Amino acid sequence: MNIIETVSLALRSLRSNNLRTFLSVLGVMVGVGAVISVISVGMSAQAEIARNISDLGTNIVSVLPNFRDSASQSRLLQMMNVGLGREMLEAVPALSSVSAVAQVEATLAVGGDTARATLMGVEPSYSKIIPTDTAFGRWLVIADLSVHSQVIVLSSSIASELFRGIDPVGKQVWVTAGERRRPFVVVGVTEAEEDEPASGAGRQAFIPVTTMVYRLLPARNVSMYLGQTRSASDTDAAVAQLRRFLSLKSVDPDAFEVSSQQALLDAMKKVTIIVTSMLTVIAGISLVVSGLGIMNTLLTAVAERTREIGVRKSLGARNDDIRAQFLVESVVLSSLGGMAGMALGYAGSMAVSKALNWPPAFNWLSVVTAMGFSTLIGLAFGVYPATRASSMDPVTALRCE
Amino acid sequence: MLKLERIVKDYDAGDIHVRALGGIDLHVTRGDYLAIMGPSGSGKSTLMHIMGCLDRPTSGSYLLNGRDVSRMNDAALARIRNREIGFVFQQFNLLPRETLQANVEVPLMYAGLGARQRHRMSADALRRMGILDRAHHRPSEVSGGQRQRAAIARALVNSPSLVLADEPTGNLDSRTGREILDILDSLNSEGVTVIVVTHDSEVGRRARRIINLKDGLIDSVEAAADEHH
Repeated sequence: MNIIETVSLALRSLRSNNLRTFLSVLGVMVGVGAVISVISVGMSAQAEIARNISDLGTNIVSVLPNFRDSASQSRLLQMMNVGLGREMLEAVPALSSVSAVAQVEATLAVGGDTARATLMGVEPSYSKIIPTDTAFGRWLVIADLSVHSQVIVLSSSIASELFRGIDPVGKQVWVTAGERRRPFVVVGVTEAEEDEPASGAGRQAFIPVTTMVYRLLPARNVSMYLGQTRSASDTDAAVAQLRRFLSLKSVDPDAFEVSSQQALLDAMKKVTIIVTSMLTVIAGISLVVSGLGIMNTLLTAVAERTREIGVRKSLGARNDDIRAQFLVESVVLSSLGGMAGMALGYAGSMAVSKALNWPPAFNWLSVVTAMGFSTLIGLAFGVYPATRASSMDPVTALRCE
Repeated sequence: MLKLERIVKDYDAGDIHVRALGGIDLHVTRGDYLAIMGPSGSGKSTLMHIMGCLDRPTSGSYLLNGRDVSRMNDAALARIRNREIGFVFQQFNLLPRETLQANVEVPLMYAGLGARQRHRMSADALRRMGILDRAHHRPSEVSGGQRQRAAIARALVNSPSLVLADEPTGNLDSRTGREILDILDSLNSEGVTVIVVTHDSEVGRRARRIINLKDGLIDSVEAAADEHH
């Protein structure tokens, strides 16, 4: 018997009990579908995380204070002035630019209109580190910092909310942060960002960091430093050099938390891989359970067809022929389920990535894995029923009613 | 052609020890026509199973066409059943999901023949049994007589040297039964060795020799004086 004949025999046998066949195929389908969806959604999540983080740039290094007690806090805050960023740039050759960043929630007002914004006190280099383009007017310049000028760059959605289509460049905005209220002149508007909310919090406006700490905030310190390395491959070196510089400077190796986007990206990737693997194992369990369903179906088929087995043996079927017949049936069952599960997994992963607006990551490796697995399960769970069928005594089998 | 010497078959069912065959000596020549008769429990089914290579004797030797088959392994016995022996059963034992032609092709499939050759040989066998027009019917769609004819076609399709028929008329009405016996007679006249196991004396009369079994031993051998021979 060649393989085509064996498979067609298996299909005919399976068709003789459609419901039972359908149920065990369904079991495999769900198992395979789950495995493929989980792997694909996991890949999709990884791609999404990578996209979000690389939007920020993989050659970015951040320096944040590590407050452990009020003593260290006040000491660190004293250190964290705009000048410290310049020192970092000089001390660490791998860095191409550094910006001190101070941040505060503020209300912007023009006439009777107000808008909430995250006010970012930054240096001109900030726009190179976190790519920020101006659609109108200009970005902050060095001169703004040296004279602590009260100039502001608005995000496009704040600009349109406060000025409603009028060119805001050159107009005045009142900025309220905490107790202080100061007039600022709009010098530029940034380009619209896709993920910027149309209203409410989360929108940004930029002013010189020196203006922020000297004229708006009660304290003189900044909240963090962002640095950019010359290339992504310099990032690790930059992190190490920064740590050394800062621990010497503060006489405390743990005073600052120095981290790179690359390290964050790697960590997030690791987390998603762990979560995906865990979910895959869980989905894999359902695949194994579906194997038990196949085994059950086959054992029933063997019991029902005992006489057929006897007849086939009397006509010259060897034990191997009988074993092959039932094994092929088992593999046909599980691969039918595998194919259906592939379609289910494809649909599932597409639906998830669409719903969450993640990049679709239907993974062909997961298809190969799931198909291979379902075939293996057919083989593994078919061996026992098939061997049981093949080892039947022909006389006893023929006598079976 | 068949040479059985001191064939003993014991069954152990737990503590109960049953001797189904107590030492059978039997010689069957090519072209012979034998009926094995006896009441139920006399061991005739066991004897048929051993002659049909479905079972191995506990002791004794069985030479089939000069080869000792009593000690062969499962695969070798399967090959012997496939090439040398054609079975005809009381229950017909056709595969219900397959057409008559597909049923006839089963032994050819296990013999490893290709589809075209199988198709030709099975059509020949069905034609010989006069049921070629039923080739594409399933067993449930044809009469009992036609089923048994299909079963005989299947038994003959590999040109075996021995046809073993176990109560071949047991599930048929008497007229159809006679037709089936006529077919066996004509096969025998063409040189096929036929062994029929039956408790029906009318069936037995067709044979050249009747072996009467009793309690696992040959009780008597009669030469049938039948009008056919």
